[in-house]
Amino acid sequence: MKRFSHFDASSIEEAVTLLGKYENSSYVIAGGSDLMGCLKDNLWMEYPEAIINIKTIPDLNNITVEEDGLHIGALVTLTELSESDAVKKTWPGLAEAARRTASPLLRNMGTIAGNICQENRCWYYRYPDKIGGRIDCVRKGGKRCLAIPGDHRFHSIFGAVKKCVAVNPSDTAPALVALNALVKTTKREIPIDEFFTAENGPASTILDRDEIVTEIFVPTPSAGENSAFVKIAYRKSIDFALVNCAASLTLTDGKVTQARICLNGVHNVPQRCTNSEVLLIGKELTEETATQAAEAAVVGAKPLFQNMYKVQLAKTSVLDTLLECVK
Amino acid sequence: MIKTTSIGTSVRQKDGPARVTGAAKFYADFIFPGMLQTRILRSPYPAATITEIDTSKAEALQGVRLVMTHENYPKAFRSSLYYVGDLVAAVVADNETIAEEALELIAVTYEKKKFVLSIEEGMKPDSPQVFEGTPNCNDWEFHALLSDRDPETRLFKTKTPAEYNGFGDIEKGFAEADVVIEQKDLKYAYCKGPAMEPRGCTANFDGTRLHVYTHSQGMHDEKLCLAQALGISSNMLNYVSPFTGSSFGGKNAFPLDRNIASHYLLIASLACLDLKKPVHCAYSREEEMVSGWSRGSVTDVKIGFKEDGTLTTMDMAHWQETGSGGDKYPAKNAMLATGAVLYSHNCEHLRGKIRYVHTNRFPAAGWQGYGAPEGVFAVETTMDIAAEKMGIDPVEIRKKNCMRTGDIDSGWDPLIYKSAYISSSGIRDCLDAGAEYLDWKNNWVHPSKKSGRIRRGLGVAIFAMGAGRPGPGNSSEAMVKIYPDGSAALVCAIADIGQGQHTVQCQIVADVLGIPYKKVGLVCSDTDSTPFATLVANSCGTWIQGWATYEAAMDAKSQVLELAATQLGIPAPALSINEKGIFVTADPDKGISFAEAFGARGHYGGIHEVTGYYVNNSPHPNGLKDGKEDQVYIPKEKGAQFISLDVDTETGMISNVNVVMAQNVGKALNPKIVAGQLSTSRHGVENAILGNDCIVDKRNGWLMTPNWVDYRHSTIMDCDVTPIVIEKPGDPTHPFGATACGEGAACPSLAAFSNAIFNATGVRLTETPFDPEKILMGLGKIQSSRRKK
Repeated sequence: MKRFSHFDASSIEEAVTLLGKYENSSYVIAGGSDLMGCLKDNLWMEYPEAIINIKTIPDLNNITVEEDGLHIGALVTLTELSESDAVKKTWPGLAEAARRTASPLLRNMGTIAGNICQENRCWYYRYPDKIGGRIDCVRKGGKRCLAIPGDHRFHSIFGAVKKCVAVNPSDTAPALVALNALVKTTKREIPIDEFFTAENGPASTILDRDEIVTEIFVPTPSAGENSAFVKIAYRKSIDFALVNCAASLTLTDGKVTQARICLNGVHNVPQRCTNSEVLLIGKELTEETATQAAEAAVVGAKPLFQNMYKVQLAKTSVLDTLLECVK
Repeated sequence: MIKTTSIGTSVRQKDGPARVTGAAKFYADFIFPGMLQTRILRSPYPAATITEIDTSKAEALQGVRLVMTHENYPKAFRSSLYYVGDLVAAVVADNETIAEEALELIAVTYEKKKFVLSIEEGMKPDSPQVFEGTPNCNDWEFHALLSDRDPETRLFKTKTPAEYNGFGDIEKGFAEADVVIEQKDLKYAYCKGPAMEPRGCTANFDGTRLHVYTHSQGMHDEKLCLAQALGISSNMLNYVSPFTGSSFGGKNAFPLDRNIASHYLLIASLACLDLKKPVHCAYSREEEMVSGWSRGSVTDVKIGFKEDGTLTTMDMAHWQETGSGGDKYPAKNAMLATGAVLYSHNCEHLRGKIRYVHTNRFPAAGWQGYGAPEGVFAVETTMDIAAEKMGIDPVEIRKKNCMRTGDIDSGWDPLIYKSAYISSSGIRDCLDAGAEYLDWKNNWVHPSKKSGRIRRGLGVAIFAMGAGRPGPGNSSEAMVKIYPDGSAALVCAIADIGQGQHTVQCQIVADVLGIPYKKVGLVCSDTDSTPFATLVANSCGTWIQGWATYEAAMDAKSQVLELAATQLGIPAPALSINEKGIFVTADPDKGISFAEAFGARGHYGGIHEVTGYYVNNSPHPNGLKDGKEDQVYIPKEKGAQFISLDVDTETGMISNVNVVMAQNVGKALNPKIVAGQLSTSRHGVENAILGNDCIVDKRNGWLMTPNWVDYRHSTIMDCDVTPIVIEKPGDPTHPFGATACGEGAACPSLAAFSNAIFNATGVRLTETPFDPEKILMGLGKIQSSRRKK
């Protein structure tokens, strides 16, 4: 690994000041499970001059349940989130998504904010510099996407954004989308539906370079609302999802009155399944309606040569998630 | 008759405490004052020639001590590059950061060449040649045709050079067969073994001699090879390898062949000799991932049967990938699954044509099974298809035809010996035990009778694996020392790469001498202090080292008994040894201590140690049939594996995997170690259902999975393993009746998986890995029209 300056920030203000000072050549580190890999593999065009540690900032690691909902500090680890009784009881889809992320060691290190800000796992984007040199793909400013003519078995089934077919790899992201979360930063409050983008350079979010997530807020579920999360991955631990899905459904008098369904691992950003949601409103949730909703979720899918199977996985994961919600 | 006190019990592993407490010193733990660090510049192209290389800027960087290229170090580097990640240059510097910065200052001009990135492409005669002037697809050279079988002894009397291995008359065999089953293009993906510790070493020159600290599967073999490659005298080199951070057979260094991934030895040693400074050269995970791949094959199998399921004829054509010219020897092991060994009992006609294929992928290395898993996958999948077509139970068709004790082994051993016999089989016992465990008779249901989204399947496969080859070059030595305090030391160089050799060899010493296991120590850390030992490969340690250890202990014991006999005035044959000393067998109260027997008087006089020694130039006389020099028993590894699993027919994902691994080990010298070794069959899981393949970008040759997130090794959550240890006594090849137990567990998994998936779904997969795409396509859930490789 190359040399860089390392700062322990004692306050959010200090961290923001340092980010400003080093402008485009600095990164924030918390758990570091994503950032360290990027640094070791030297995969960016420019190596950062400074790394700013925010773990040293107090009071960013609390899980607080208030009347309006769940307030998750940016530094809350995935282990803390998955083991919180309150989260497990009231927001089961989120607890399950955190539990299914990575491995125990990584969950002990990795934070919720880091998990939704992580960079994509496209193997062209991530190709290390040690075995022939990094690959300058389209996401890093190169001319073209290499996965489309190359190997794209794990890539987008809903087309490209700015020529890039990488997928968002996060497990907690779809759960937070399904639960209609709000991301609070040093600059603003961002509805989760607007948080993710593939149009901000290599980043996976709309965050500015000098902007830090401070809290994630998840509203209290309404009466009759339940959530679930389903992940399809090769291994039972560690792996990023081939496809995952989260949903929150509100049932009133046996009929669906509210639905938010989100697939991930299928597109550049977490994919809201609005067709499916519309289809379910006013209906009972049965195997039949859930199947119709699952079919609707993949209408418009544009799989590449090698990833037809992911359409089937996406469809099935929507079905399984919906049924899990009413279990 | 030796009383077995330690043998047969699960004594604590000799090096277990050191490994689990972190006290064990691996090569990376040896740090010397002034030690320099190395980083390597690697090829961005799958095939290229270096036309120009300018290292002047790198050399000028403060802290850089040496820049090595093909121009100044032709022993370690070449101007021709054969895969992405091939070695271009190395920088030796004061620290890693400087070395990495210097790499960026090396200016290289490459001339790109055409390349081939799959075994199928390499098999085509017109594919671009990986090595100019050498075809990519090559015949394996040990071809012999055996004929004139003696009806009495079943021995083949004539051996003729041929284009293929085999015996009998293949045309006649198929003409006379009632049923012929043929499968083409059974494909086992090129895979990467799961060794935790990346390749590397530290070289340290002490003024007169070079000490190389590294991992090893055979210190002496590797040392001799390295000395020759460096062009230094063997007596100048000490190879130090007290602990190896796992290997699974893939880290056997062979620096003489520069296609094999052991360049770290040459780089560190050459730099150390020239700079007279300690030099450390260790691969990063990414570099390790482009070094030493395994498996990778295409196989055609054709089998002829009589109406009742008796196998009479087998034809195999096998192509084995070597990547860019790595280890080609695994190719031969595919023959183990044929009528040469596994189906030797009834097979009358056999042909096996074996080839190895170069590509511009990463150099091949061994991995547990070493070619056998590929052959077993092809044959045992085809056997299952045959059972299905003939309406025979898959277990029964195997019991009817598998090799049995005393059958002729006509693999490659007859090329050296007139004949070789299977010392003990027990496959049928393994089949019975596994079938009983899973209640096969009631639980094996034909796929046509299954429905529902989640479908359970059972599959079985049997295997035979080579276990050393008796004969020239396969020898081991041991020294056993007994000290006046009653402790003993086994001095030998057998490598423990996780399979428990250090423990088991000490158990042998303890029981031969009659002293407790804890009183036996092990000296096994470098070549200076140990005599030669066989390379730990081909599952031969227990067998070949075992005899050396046993006989050396017997030698030491008889010397001690002679000393005591003189002191006691009682003949040695009437004496025995125990923890306290030497006693009269018939009158255990009468005896003397070891110190008394040695006549030890402090530092002045007496005998300070007794040393027993033996060299086992295998085969040991006990392993000969009827004492005949040209007829040997071979302790093949053998057994049966059953797999039960659930297939989700909507996703093609597989879960609830239980691998039931039954193996006849003759005698389990240490039952826990044996069970652990059988549990390594979990590595079959990763090759089968975790989507692993050598995925390279087809236009550029980049490895898309250079880490352990994208290349998946199984975790304990991905399958259960149930080891079933069968002990059939009487194997003549080992002093305690043990047969080999090393690589077998890796052999049958992929066939058992394919068979279980078929049993669950009716979908027959003949190409690994068995990923959801293939299963969904087989089930008709997704169309194949848009699939393109």
